[in-house]
Amino acid sequence: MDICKRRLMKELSTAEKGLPSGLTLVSANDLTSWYIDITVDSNSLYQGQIYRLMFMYSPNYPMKVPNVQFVPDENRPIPIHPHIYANGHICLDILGDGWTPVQNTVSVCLSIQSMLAGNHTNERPPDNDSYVRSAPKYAQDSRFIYHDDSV
Amino acid sequence: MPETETYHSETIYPVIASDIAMQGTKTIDSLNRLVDYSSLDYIDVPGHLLCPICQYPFVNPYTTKCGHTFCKECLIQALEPNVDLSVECRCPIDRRPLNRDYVEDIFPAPKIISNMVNDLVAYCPNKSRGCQFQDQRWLLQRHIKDVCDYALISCGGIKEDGSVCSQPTHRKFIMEERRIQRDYLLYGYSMLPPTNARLMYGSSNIHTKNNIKDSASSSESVETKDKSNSLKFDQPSKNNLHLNAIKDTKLYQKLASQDDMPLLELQEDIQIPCVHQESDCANGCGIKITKATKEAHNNIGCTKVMLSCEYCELQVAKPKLNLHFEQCPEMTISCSAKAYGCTWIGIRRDLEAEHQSKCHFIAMVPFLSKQDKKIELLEKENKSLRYHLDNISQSLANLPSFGNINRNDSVSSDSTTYSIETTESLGALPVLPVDLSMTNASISHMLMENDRLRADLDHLTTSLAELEMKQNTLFMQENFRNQEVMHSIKGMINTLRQQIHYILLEHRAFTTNSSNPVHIINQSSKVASTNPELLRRRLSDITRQDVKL
Repeated sequence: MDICKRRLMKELSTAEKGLPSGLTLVSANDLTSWYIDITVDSNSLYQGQIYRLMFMYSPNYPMKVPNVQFVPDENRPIPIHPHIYANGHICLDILGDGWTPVQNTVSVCLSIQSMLAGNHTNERPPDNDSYVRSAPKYAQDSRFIYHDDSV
Repeated sequence: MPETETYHSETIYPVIASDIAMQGTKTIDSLNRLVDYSSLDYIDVPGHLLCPICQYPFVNPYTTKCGHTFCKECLIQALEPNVDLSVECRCPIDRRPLNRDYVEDIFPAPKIISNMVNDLVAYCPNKSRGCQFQDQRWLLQRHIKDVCDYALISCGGIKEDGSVCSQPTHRKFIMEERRIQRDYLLYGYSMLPPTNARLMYGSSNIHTKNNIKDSASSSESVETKDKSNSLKFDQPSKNNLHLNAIKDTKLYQKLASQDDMPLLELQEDIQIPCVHQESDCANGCGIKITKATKEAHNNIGCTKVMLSCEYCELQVAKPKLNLHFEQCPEMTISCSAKAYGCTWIGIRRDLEAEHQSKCHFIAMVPFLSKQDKKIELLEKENKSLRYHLDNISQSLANLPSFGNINRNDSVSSDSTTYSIETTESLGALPVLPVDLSMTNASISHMLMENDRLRADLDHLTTSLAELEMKQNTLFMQENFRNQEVMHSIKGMINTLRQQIHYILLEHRAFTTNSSNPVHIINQSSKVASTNPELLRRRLSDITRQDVKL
């Protein structure tokens, strides 16, 4: 069994035992894509709302970063945040160049949760419209420039 | 140790844990050779001994110059340079630049770490095949190599056509065969149940590698259980003969010189029949079995293994025993209405003969079971209702507030009970989760709509009331003014009437004066005498002033 499978099996068994508060495992299809529901109750901007994250793992996981983005669904909007585009793509360094194999699904979720919790501006990124129009299907395939460390 | 363990072909080399490339080849040897430390089922692992990358206990731990430890394989993969070298390789934990080719950057972890992970207790990798063994992981290799009954090894037995079987099988079957053969060689019989294979030595006196074919064919000649039994016990003369014949052979001397020669080491010397050779089940059930499947067959599948029922002592085939227990007249059972409170215990025959007619509980059974079913149905319904209620209250809680929603609390709770009533009628039907979510969505949508409309209505009512008030005050004001005007007009009319009256009087006095002056004078003097003041003051009368206005 290769590292990817073993690692995901392990993560799945840990996730099934219980996730940190605010996270719910919705489904984990044959280990290649997971859906996780996330809530941020500490921030009034996102209070009472549930968002859905999609994780897609390449066979090189955990050496290569998984593709992580918000997916809209019934009652599951895309959170409004200066680093989250309307198509669900997230501009976060650990989901790009900053990824290291030590990170895992839960730690990424927690990073996103804290990114949302620390935000006080109720707006989309400044280049939202132009990005969404020309964005590739997966956020992984776009090159973000990480310049803003404030959020 | 590896160097010395090459004397038989099933030699299992010790684990080269990092030798992951070998895992691809799943030959029998490699199945046993590699205990893959990373796929073991560990029993209790402290978190500090887990590789941060693969999350399993370290295999061949390597440490970085920044002091972090990983499995070698994980670290090498994590530090694999990009194709275009655009991203510098960094420590996965603190992102310090590392080069996997520099021995100063990454090097084997201190021995104590390897020792600690190697001491971790894990289950035998053959657990899934039935081995319950558990030990420190570095000892598992030895276990699998020498001891584990469930390790797969090459059969190595002689097939019916004389060739050597290379199919894998569990070690215990091979070992059993070898023990039988050895015992037979030494003592002329085995303590274990006889098999046709043992007869190889019975008929061909001296066994060497060269006459395998001979022995194999002779084994076919004797097949039945009876015959082998007779060989074993009833023909001591032949046994002696056999013993005398083989006593001179090297093998016998080797076996005799060492009482308890490990069976493992006898591979070269003892030939065993193939354990995959099919034969009819000895019990005559007609199913073909092999030695490897015999045990499972006898335990579960064989219809001819007779067991005596522990109650009625009837002989029953094993697979049918459970069926028999449902009917056995001698079996001790409790009353069939035990669930409803009957405490009677006795044998089944008595139940049918006596108890059944007396027991009040049994008489109640149809009724009670009906009740049970009803309760079950109600519970189910209750569950689905609770689910609905939960959903509704959740969607209610999630409704955006319209400002005056608190004022309408009583009303909205009314609407909740209403929707529960509607779901109640549906409750008995199994509702698919999809439908549920759809109804929930529509219900919450309707509730929202309802609240919005109510808010609008309230707003309208209040503004209407305000308008009415305004209208009323306006009307009142207008009314007052009108009344005042009316009053003044009435006063004016009165004055006018008086004036006209006065003028008419004057006029009449004047006309009568010309014709009858006395009367006029009388009249006027009468008026003047009765009210002289009034006449004079009429000019400054209040009403007259009003008229002026």
